Amino acid sequence: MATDWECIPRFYEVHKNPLQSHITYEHPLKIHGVTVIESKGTKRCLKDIRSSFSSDNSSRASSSISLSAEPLTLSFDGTDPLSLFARQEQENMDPLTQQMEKINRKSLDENNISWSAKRLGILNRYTTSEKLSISTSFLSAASSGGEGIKSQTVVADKVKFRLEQLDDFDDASMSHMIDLTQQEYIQRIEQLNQELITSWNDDQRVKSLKIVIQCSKMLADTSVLSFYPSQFVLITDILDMFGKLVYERLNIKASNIISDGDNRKSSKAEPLYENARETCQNWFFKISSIRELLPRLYLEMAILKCYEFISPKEFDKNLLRITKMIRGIGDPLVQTYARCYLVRISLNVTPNKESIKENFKDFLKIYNTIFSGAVRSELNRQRVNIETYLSLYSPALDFMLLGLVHKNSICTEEIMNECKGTKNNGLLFISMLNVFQPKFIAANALEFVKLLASSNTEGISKGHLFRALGISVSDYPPLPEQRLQFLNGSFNTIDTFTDPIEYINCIETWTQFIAKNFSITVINDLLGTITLRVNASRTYERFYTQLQNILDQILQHFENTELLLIQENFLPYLDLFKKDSNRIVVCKNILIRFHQKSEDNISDEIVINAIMFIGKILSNSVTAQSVEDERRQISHLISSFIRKVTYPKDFERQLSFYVDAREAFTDLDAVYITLVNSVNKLAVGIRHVVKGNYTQKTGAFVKACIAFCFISIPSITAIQNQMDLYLLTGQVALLNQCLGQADACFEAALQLVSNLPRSVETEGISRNLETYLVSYLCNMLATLVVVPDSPDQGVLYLLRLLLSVVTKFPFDAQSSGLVIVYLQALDMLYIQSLEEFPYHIPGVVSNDELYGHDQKYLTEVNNICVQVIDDILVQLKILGSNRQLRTQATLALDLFLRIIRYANLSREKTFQLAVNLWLLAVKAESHIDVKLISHTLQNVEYIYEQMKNTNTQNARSLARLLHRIQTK
Amino acid sequence: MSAINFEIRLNKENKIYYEGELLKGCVHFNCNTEAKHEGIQLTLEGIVNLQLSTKNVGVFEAFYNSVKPITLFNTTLELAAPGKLSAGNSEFHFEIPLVCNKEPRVLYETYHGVFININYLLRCDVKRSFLAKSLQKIQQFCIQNKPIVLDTKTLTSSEVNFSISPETLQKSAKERINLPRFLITGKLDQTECCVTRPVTGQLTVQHTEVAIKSIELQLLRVETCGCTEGYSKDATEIQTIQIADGNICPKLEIPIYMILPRLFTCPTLITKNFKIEFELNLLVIFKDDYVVTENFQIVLKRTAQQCDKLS
Repeated sequence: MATDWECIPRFYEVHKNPLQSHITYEHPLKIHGVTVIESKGTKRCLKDIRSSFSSDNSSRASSSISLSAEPLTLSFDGTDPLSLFARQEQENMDPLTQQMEKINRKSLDENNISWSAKRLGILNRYTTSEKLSISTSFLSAASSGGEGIKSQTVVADKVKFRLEQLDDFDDASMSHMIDLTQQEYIQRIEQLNQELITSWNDDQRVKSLKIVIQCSKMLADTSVLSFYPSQFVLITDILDMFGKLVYERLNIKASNIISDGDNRKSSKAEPLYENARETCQNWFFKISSIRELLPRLYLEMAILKCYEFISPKEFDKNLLRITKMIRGIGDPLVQTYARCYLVRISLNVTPNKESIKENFKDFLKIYNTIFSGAVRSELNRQRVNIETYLSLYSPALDFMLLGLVHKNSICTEEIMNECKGTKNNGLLFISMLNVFQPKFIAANALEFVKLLASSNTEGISKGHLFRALGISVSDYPPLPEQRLQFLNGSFNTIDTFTDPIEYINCIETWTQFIAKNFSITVINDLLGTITLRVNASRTYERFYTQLQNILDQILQHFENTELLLIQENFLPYLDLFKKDSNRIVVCKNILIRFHQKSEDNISDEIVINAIMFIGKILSNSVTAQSVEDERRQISHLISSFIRKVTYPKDFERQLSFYVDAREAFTDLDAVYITLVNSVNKLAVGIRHVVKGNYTQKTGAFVKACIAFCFISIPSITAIQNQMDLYLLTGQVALLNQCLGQADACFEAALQLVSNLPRSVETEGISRNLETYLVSYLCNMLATLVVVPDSPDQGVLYLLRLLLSVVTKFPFDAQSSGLVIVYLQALDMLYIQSLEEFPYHIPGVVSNDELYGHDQKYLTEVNNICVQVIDDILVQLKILGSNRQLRTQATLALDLFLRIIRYANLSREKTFQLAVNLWLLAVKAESHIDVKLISHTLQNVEYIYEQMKNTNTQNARSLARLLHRIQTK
Repeated sequence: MSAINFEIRLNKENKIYYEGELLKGCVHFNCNTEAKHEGIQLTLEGIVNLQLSTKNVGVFEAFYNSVKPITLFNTTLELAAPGKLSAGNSEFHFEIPLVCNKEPRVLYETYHGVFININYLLRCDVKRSFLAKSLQKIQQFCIQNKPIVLDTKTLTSSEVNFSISPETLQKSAKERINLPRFLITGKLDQTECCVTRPVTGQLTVQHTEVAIKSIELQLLRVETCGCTEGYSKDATEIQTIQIADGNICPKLEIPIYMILPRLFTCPTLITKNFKIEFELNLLVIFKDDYVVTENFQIVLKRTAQQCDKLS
């Protein structure tokens, strides 16, 4: 034996120096810059959801300003990335809230009925696979418009020339493109748009005009009906562009930024405005001579804003005139869209709604021609059904009504009364429900129900109507006292739907309203009815999305999830999902909602059973092939449920629930971990209840808890988790005075050390387990201090086991891990040598009391110390040979200090060892922290200060040592 | 060889003048070097060109006398005696009273038609020496009648109600049997119109058996040349615009609205030698390309009303 060791207890006061602390409201790692960025992110993703906002920059700027104004509140709101994600997730999860938000935004954004928002919607909605055709003279390879206008001095000639050019319009260069796909068509239109801009910039105004005329002529083409709304959008884009070009040019002329088109400076005597007015009038003269009605109207509308230069006060008069002229368009669809364009233009030039109202009235006048025989035969020819045909009207009609009721609620009632009198008014009602303020609809809910129920329009099913009503009332429910009557009235009609698709689609929109405003019985009835109907028609697999949405809506909007779960119709409804994948999604949603909304403690047996049932479905769905994330989510949800279950004062029931849960949710590690933790919590809870005095019954129950844990832990795959849980369970067992169980747990934990892998991979990053093991063992050592030796095993059996298993772990050659564990073991052994341990567990007799500071025991302890010191020295040597001088020196100083504190220095070997260690450290002084040596020295001096008065042998030895190292 | 750039500038941007006004302006020269010339002349011309339509030419050869152009003006001003134009810009201002001194002692409005044209122009000639070519520039301008202020009553009183049905057509009873049944009623707000205001009115398709393809409004000029002994009268189209496209909804009032083209119309003019008159045709084209026409005589005037800014 190279060393000699005798622990001697210290006999000086140890006092702690608490660090200075002060209260703070801010996390020190939270940086302001980050806050701003994050909140920007939030803003942006919100913005994606809302339609389109032009005021990007300003809103962003203001957000950062407000941040700097009160950084505290905002940073707490903004920076937490987890809650941020949660929020995002929530928003992404349900499209309906998104929609609602969009609607809210729209109502916020009062000044702007934005066409651009609708534009894209129309383009996406109305598509076709039919072949389209374009007639134009501008897209052919050789463009005919090259001749240009010679500089002519007489207005008359120029105009004549231009008119001649217009007459050439139908010339041979006209090419017909047929068999275009939709994509090609869009491309061509875009090309035309480009062509328009180029020729405008090249001062070829006549050509520009011709392009626009040709384009607007295409609007008369209804040969592919289902594409017409998109066609309208594309072509009016060009018209808008043209209007903008003309207006801007006149504006420039009026303020004379550049010289006018005649290459002559306008004479100074004339006001410049005259010039612009003259040009503007020329435009209108030109347009008024266009032979065909449709292009003439569209072009006049496109440049309507230019009347500003001629008669700024007569916008309304002109609008009304055009409104009347549109009557001349025979095709009701073309006419309606022309009106839509006029409404769009009128919103830009006047706040007066008179013309919009007239437009709507005119639309009502021709409304019945939509259903006329001529239209029907055309529909037959194109094989378009009336339903699709009517849906073509809705964008135009919606926009018209929106323009009318926007900031103007007086019209609403008037419109409604007019619609009431019209035959086949389904189409009108749909637009009204889409466009009107939900508040108004809610106020007149009962009347609407009556109207919709009696409305009978071919092509617009009642389902369609009630769907629109459902969406509207979900935003703004009717008065509370009318709700029930309203609901009954509506369902009187809805229940008569024979087509299951119609029925289920309709229900889908109503669910939100019902879930928000009615009691559980109504919801239960609803679920029952749906189940019955869907089962009766055996059509469940066709409606999974709808059924799922319905359930989601209910879960989201009905606040009491538990109450929902115990409804008798709930589980049968769940049974409708026959396909596994759907069922799993549904179950997951239920659990998510449950997790978010239910109370923290649940004890209702039925609810628990229902959730258990759902949870089982989920846990069974997890297989070896499942994605890690899926597994994690499901485990998380089930765990959260398990934590919520509490039977107050009924511990056995609680335990039996955990047993059931263990049986039900096999193969989910995280759930097992939760279970073990919960049971441990239960055991600790019991200790609180009995206050440490166990009866036979409680004792047995606690043992049962520990046993539960003990047998559950091995099923968990990750060794790390097993070890943690064993330690925890052991500690709980110790706390509950179950010594045998505690020993078993600690032993099992220690046995696992040898199986512990060197590193684990989490999310692609491999993590070395060395640090984990070191801290784990330190924790274990601290626990072992109070664990009494078992009579069956030798002295300090567990410690010896620990020391032996720790060598089996493949530590790095350079690492200090092993030595740290040894050093900590030394600490623990030192405590064992004390007469009274610094801490105890009430009711547990620790080694101090057990051996009563027996000399034999102390010898054992000292022997182990010697062994440990030897091991440390071996390790230090290895480190030295690996040239790890820094580590070696640091550890040597650590050991040096321990020797000074714990050991009897008066023994020569010990004294020599200390000196040698010191010398070793000093030799490597250049490698280690400069202050380390001096600090250690101060430390030793401090210890000496404390004990020099005791005048023991040890103190004298220390003085000697101090002398040795100080001289060095 | 030195280049002479020049142009005639008028004091009015829109180049519209009334009889009796002073035509003011200047001839603006821009030479890069000093240039010699043999005199600069400015000529004011006003001519009525009459032409006989080819289908009538054989018959009216004898009356060639009456289709001689009528000169309303031919005044020449000497702007500069032979001499030199200095380098750089130089301007010659002029003022000419717009008065016709000989027959017919009035200035007609500028008009561009098929057989009749009434043109006014200024011509500037720069005579050059033997070797250099003479230079010439032309500037046209328009003459309009002074708007007559009329009270609105006289205009509204000229409204015409019409109704078109198989019965109103000039057909024999036998022919009428084969016609589809239809009735179109309407109203033209005035037959005495102002050239600067649109022709307005309205029509309603009361009922029709055959679908309507299009309803169009046609503006015609009726030009008459010649004198009492013999004349040629031709009606030609000025413009046609569609007022209804496709089978429009019956019993719905459709507006008639046509802006008169500025340069191809003038107030109705009746003189000793020629006449310019206008007519409107309302064409109803049915699905089977059957066309029904209703003709209206209209009188154009240049009037001014209180709110009329166009004078």
